[in-house]
Amino acid sequence: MLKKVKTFHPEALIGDDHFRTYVESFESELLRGISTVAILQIMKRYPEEGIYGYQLLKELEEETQNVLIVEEGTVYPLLRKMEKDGVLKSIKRELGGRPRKYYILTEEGIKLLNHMSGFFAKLLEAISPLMDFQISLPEDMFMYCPNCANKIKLDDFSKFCEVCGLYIEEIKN
Amino acid sequence: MNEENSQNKNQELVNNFLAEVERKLPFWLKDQKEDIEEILEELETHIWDKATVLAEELDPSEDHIRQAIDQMGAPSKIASEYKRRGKPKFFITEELFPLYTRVMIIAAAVLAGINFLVFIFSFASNKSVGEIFGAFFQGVFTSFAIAIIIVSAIFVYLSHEGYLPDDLGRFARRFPQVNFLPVIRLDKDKDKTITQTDPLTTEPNVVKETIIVKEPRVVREVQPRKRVKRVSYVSGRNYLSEGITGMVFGTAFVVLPFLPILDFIQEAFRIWITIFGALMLLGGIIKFLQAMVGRLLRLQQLLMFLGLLVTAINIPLFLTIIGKAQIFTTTNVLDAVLNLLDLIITKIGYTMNTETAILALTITIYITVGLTALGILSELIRMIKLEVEGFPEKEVIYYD
Repeated sequence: MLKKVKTFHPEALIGDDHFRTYVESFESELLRGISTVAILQIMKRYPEEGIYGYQLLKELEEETQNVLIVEEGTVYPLLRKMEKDGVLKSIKRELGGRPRKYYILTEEGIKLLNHMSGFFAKLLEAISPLMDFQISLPEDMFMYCPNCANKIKLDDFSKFCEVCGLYIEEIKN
Repeated sequence: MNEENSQNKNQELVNNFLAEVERKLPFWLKDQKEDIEEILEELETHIWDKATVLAEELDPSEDHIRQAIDQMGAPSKIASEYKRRGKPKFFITEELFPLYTRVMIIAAAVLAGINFLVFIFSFASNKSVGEIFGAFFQGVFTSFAIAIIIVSAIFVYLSHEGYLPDDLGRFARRFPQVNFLPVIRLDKDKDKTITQTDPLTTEPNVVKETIIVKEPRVVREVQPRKRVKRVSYVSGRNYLSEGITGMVFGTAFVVLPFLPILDFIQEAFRIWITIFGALMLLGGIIKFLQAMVGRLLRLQQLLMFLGLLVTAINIPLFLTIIGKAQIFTTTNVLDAVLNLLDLIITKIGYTMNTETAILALTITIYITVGLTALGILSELIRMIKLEVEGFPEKEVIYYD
């Protein structure tokens, strides 16, 4: 985000190249994991037809009101890696006269996403006392595995956490 | 006409950007041609999509293309994201760590062996026992330091570039092989015994795969229920291991002659070992680069040619020993070798004299020169094969 931020005054903090680079690298580190979760969440909405790179980035920008901005070219290496890791699968289709690669979450990908978003939610909740914000998790719909923070639907019939295998039947009730 | 020019200009801008990304991609990825095409195709589609949106669904102008390319990020950044593979562990990825430790152990063991041999020969010199032990430990310490520095530097580089063990083996398997000896059996799946009685109930699949070996080979049928030990005279050329070996031992041979451990040998022999080590080091660097560039044909051929030159210099270097046998006869080296041989051989009633030893040395050198020439010839054949056939592909039938 800071890459697109203009410096209005030479004596402002980011007017100094050292601090500008420092903040930029902090943002980039923070965004790396968060953008992965956000990308997978968008992908989850297209379980059948899949979603191609440009469409995915467009939705990401719109949904996050241009706050979560990733360098567009760097999304493709990420998608490729996740495909190689079995988190995603892809199909090629043509649209608008150009071949496009549509990405779909695999079964394992969905499970991983539940864990990632659960962990991220619990992390935000845990650090909220240190920050000036409050987090309210939708605990009427989901529970978070006490062992691995996996997000589990309360109406899910599974007795075990599908990520770490913890027996959760009693905890759910 | 203007519109056509503008379209050409736009396509050129996109192509330049894609070429820059491709240039910066790691070698292990460049080795996979279909993947590269897919990666670049995806990036290109994205640029045109973005530019079309910026042009509000009209034909994008040059400015729109530039803007779209700008938002893609720097080619080096995109390329570096493709290198992000493996779990970091002390600058070397967890995936490469077992290979790293294996290479380190082998290098250290062989270097310790070389130092031990020199240590035994040192007893024939006029040095005191204390000096011999001191020189031995200094030699071992320096050799280990060389192995640790070079092997670690290589594996840190490989980890940084995102190499995984599979990438390193893949190229060696795909490289054309030249065999001067007949092949009895080469079986990809060594653990599985294929018999004539194997029921084939499933339909075979067909995949495109790079040819592993081009020469016709004789495959002996394995009788059912008999355990057959497979013998292969072919070992895939693994430029990575050859490169690491060359760099580690080459550096050791360059450095060791200047340490006390070898100060009992003549100056001329010391220089000879240093030159031999330098050639080995240079050859190792070239082999390592060959492993890195993979199937980039022209670059691979250039490196093969440079490697040939370095190997060829070894021939006159070895032949100089024959002309200057005094290097050995006037030093303690030959005496030391003879003493050791005497110690072993006189037990069975044979004593070797200096002339016989020099004859044996001369024969050994001729054999070495012959083998080196054979190596050069096989590398030349490989180069020609690559020129004629490239890295060819064929259909391979396999069963699930």
